[in-house]
Amino acid sequence: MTDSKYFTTTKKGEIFELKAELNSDKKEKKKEAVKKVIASMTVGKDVSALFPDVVNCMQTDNLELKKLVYLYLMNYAKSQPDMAIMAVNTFVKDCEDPNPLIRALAVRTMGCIRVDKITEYLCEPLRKCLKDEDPYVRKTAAVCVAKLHDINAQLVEDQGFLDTLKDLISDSNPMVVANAVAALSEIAESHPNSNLMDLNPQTMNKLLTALNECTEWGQIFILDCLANYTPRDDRESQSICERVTPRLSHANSAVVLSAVKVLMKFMEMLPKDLDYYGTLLKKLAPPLVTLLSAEPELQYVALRNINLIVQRRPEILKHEMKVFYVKYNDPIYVKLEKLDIMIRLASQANIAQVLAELKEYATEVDVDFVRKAVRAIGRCAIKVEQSAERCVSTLLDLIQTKVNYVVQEAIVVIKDIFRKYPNKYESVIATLCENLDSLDEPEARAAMIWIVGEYAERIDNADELLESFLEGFHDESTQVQLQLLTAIVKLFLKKPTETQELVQQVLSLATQDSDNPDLRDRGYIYWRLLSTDPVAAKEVVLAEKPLISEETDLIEPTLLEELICHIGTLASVYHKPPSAFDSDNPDLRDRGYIYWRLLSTDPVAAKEVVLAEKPLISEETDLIEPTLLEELICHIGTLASVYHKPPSAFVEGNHGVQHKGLPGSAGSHLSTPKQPASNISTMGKTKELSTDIRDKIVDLHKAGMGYKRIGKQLGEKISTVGAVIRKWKKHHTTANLPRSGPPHKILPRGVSLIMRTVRNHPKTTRGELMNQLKAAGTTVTKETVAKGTEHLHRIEGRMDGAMYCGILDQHFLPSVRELKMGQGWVFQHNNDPKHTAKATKEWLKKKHIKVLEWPSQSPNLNPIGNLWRELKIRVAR
Amino acid sequence: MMTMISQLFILSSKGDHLIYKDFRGEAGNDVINVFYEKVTALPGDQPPVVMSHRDLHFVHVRQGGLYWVATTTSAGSSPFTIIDFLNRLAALVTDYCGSLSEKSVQMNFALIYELLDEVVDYGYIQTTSSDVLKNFIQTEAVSSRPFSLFDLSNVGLFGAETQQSKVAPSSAATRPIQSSRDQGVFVDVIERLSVIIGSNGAVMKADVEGEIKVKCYMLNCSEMRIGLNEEFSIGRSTLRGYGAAVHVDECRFHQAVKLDEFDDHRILKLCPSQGEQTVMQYQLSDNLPSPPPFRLFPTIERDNRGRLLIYMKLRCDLPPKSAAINVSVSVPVPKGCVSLSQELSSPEQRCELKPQSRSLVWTVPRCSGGTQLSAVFKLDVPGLSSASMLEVGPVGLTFELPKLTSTGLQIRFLRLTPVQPGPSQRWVRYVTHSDSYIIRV
Repeated sequence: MTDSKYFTTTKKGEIFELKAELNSDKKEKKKEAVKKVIASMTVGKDVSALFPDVVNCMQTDNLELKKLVYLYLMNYAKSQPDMAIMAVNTFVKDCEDPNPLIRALAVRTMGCIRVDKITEYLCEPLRKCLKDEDPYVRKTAAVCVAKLHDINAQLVEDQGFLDTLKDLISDSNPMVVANAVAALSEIAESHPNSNLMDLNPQTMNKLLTALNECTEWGQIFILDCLANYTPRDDRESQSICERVTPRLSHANSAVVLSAVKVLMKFMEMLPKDLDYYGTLLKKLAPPLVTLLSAEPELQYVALRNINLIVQRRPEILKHEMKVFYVKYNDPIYVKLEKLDIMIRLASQANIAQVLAELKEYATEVDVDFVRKAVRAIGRCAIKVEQSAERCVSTLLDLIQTKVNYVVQEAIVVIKDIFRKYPNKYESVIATLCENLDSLDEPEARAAMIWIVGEYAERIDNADELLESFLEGFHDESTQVQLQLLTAIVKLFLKKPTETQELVQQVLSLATQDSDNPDLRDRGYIYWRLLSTDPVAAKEVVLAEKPLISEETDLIEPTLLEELICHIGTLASVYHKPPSAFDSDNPDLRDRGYIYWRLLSTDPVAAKEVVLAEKPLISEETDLIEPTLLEELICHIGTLASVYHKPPSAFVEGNHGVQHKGLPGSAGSHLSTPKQPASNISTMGKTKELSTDIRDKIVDLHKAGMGYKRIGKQLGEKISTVGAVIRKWKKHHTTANLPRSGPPHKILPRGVSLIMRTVRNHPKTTRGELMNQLKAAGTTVTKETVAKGTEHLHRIEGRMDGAMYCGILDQHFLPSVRELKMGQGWVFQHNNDPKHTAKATKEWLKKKHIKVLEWPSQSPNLNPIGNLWRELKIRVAR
Repeated sequence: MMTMISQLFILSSKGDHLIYKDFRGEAGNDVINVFYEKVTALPGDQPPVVMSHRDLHFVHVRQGGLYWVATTTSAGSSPFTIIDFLNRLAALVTDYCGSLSEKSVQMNFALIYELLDEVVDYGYIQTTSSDVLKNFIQTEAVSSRPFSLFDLSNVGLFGAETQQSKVAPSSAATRPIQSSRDQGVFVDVIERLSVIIGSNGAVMKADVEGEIKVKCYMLNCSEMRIGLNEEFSIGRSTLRGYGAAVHVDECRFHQAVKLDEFDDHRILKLCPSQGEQTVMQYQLSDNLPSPPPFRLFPTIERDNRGRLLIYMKLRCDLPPKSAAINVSVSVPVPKGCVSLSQELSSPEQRCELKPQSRSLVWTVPRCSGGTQLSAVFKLDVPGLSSASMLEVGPVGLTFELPKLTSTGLQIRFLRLTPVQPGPSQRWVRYVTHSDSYIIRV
């Protein structure tokens, strides 16, 4: 008979059945019933109603049954305290039982019943059990003191259990010693000032003796306790180290790590020139290496700890670099942790080896890991100065692979290298600029912008590059916006004559159109700086920055010290973050430096700049623009009202975005910012410019006028003028460009996949195509990969409803027949006026054609739209 | 600073509660569901070891398709201790119940609760030794699959050429320790090999991690003596004499092992407890006595039709009498690779393109020592460029070398006291697995 049947579902009345069985006379039946009760308890059913019946089974000489009943008691005693008292007599009796197993069981269970009333009955039996002749009972009683202390601390002190517990440290049985140590340690934690665990040389000696004899788990308790001891002198700490060292070769990695912790602590006491110190260092390496042969979970924990140890004492593992080479089947979190340790161990001696390895990693498949590997190369360059050149050339090699994310990551890293070694490697800038277009991640864009700004005087077309970024200023992330602002200001300070417009533009973009207080703040600071005192500005912005610190992610020494004491604990896995001031956030740093320099150069100017009145923020920035709101009101109840976008936005994509109102700042010199409260509130979506005005702008531009003057003359904003001119330069037209249409469900690659498959195997079905696409990562319906084509009809002149009916008559039904579509099909056309004309509707009704209802304003529902686009592209070629 | 387990529970892979035990009354059992939600929502790249929910930390391992979870409230608890403990507990349950599965845990829940009671008290781990525990445990295990000696009969004992090629059925080694009418001792020497071979053919790294495991089902065995090679040495400086010395860098022993005869005669003495235990763990890096078992000679080129051609020559450098089985070669291929055609040297070999992992996998069921296999793979890659040729990255091999240890470690003898009657109760098995075998191209 197996136990699994107890897990079958409970039916009503089961409780009553169990009750009957529990009160049965037959022992076997009773036992089965208690088992069923416990099974129900495990799966979370409430069987507390059976409490009295189960307690009745307690008085038995069958140990197995007794254990089951005790298990039940522990679980439900708290909810039924009065009933629990019923059981006390049996407990007290069991504590006197001749069988030590029953004595121990009783005292263990009593301690687990967390009911206040029971404690007074517990004291006497506990006192006896603490002095029991059987070590098994003593060790259980020792733990029970800790349990009792948790329920009623005062009682434990009053009854003198603590002293008895201290005596147990000298017990002859190592298991009892270990439990006594464990219990005392826990009690001591709740009394920080008591000298419960006053470790003196005598107790140390006892503990160290017990260490050799007790179980592995007991050894952990004792080792953890040893770590709290402060030895009197280096001789004593050496002798402790000597006695702990054999634990390093224990099979249980928890014991090993606890021993490492103790040794790391006592090593501090040893003089470094001592021979023994060197021996100890050598002995520590192999066990740490062995920890890495465990399962990935343990490996990860081990690596987190080794990371700490390596930061504190890199010499221990300096020859073991190879152990941290990544295996291809390591889980990603293990790989990343290993990478981190490799960098920490990197030194001039092994840098060539490390770099070769990192370069291999940078060509692996896993994107996250590759990124980290590229970063690691940069960190090596910053850490080991001699290797910087080699690192840079490795990075350039990687950029040549043109793998998008590698390039981006490499650029971010090169920025850091520039910060560490300014003016040393600018020969690579040209290569970086080649890859400008492929950057789509904010961090990489920001890094590139930083480089351009910093080396503006060496890059001939720096202004063009930055201007190209400025075009989509509002779509960029804050990081890029801030960096762009700073870079343009730097550029302006370096080349003041050519870039005045640019800087004006970016300042107004930053201060007047942005909701981001950081961006606005920084914009205003620069603006005021530039307008009050350009010389000071130069001094402030272009001042030499402190070099990037060697390893920004090193853990603070004090925290490290603390974590070292906690090796092997959960805290060592979490690595509590270093303090915020050691920030790696360039924005934070930049702003910090600006304020810093301002304050140190000219406090009065600083006051003026920082405390100047800021423009009031417009009432509610998250209000919907009035015009948009009006439009949306018309569409209440549609999808658009849910998304808060006008239906046109679904259709037009990015082309619908209007340039937001910018104040036309007058004058060719930089003006102080106005209080643009009124400007901010005019963020409505403005009407499109008429073609006349656009043409006029272009004409004036051809005549050689600047954006600003054109803007002033025509009463348009500079950014609008700029946008029109840029479009004209690019497309040689001022007319509206064709809209891009709905987004494509199938990527060009998918399209070519379909084409290829169909060309090679004309009999491929839609289902197969669909599956093929799915394998390539695109999920579409069968209908999207259409089965075949209908007839095409050439339209002459303007089409109306009648003509449409004619076309349908002539081609539509024959097409249906030819494609052998049979009965179950639905006709689909969009809501073009001619499709919805009365004549068309009547025709369709006459022919009994089922028409798919088409929601308004949803061209994206049209599968053929994709094809038309393809066609247009092909034709345009 | 103490490791205290607050609760312990075992969940099935579907999240059913199989076992729940609260040791310290610090949190309710609602956290089980919190844990299950967290663990199933965990992205693959997150370290799964430790998760926290308010003040509670979950530590878990997966064994036998089950979640073994311990919770603790103190950040001073050691995850090592807990993970080690959970693994030990799983091994203990396996020893008692015979196998580890949802069914066997359900069938033996009373036994497992009893075990837990003895193993942990108030969150302090007491013992995980089956020797100690057998004095306390009352419940009889219920086995889902009774073991019988008939399982052994289908193994060809006759006609086998060496002692080593006799193989005990795997079911002989997985059975409850309590129902041990049938007796036997299994000693497994298992090594894991990780190798990196550079693109120039130089061995950049070669590590072996090994262990000797003993599974004992003897009731009246008081002492076991395992003799290793006499020329076995530990550490680099202690090479003895000449000849093919077997040596390892570092050794760790189970605490039940007595080493008084180890220094002179390389004999491990132990009093085996019922069930499975790892007697010795060792490792060796870089100085392998034999060359790495496989070499690969790849050539990668582009044919005039824009296809990617990969020629592979795989040479097996094992001794001629040995063989590797289940060899699988995985080659990363460029992104967007659409189809594959191959020429392989024998029909039992297979090759497959795996678009998810962007790799092709060439499997060879058996490869004897001294042989050389070759294969040609033609890949259609739309838009093949010289940069995508670089994506043909390091080749990974997995394989198994039965009856072979890379370090050369051998069990000289296995003696039991008192002397047991009957010949077929002692089994010694050797195997080397590839842990991570990378050949860069």
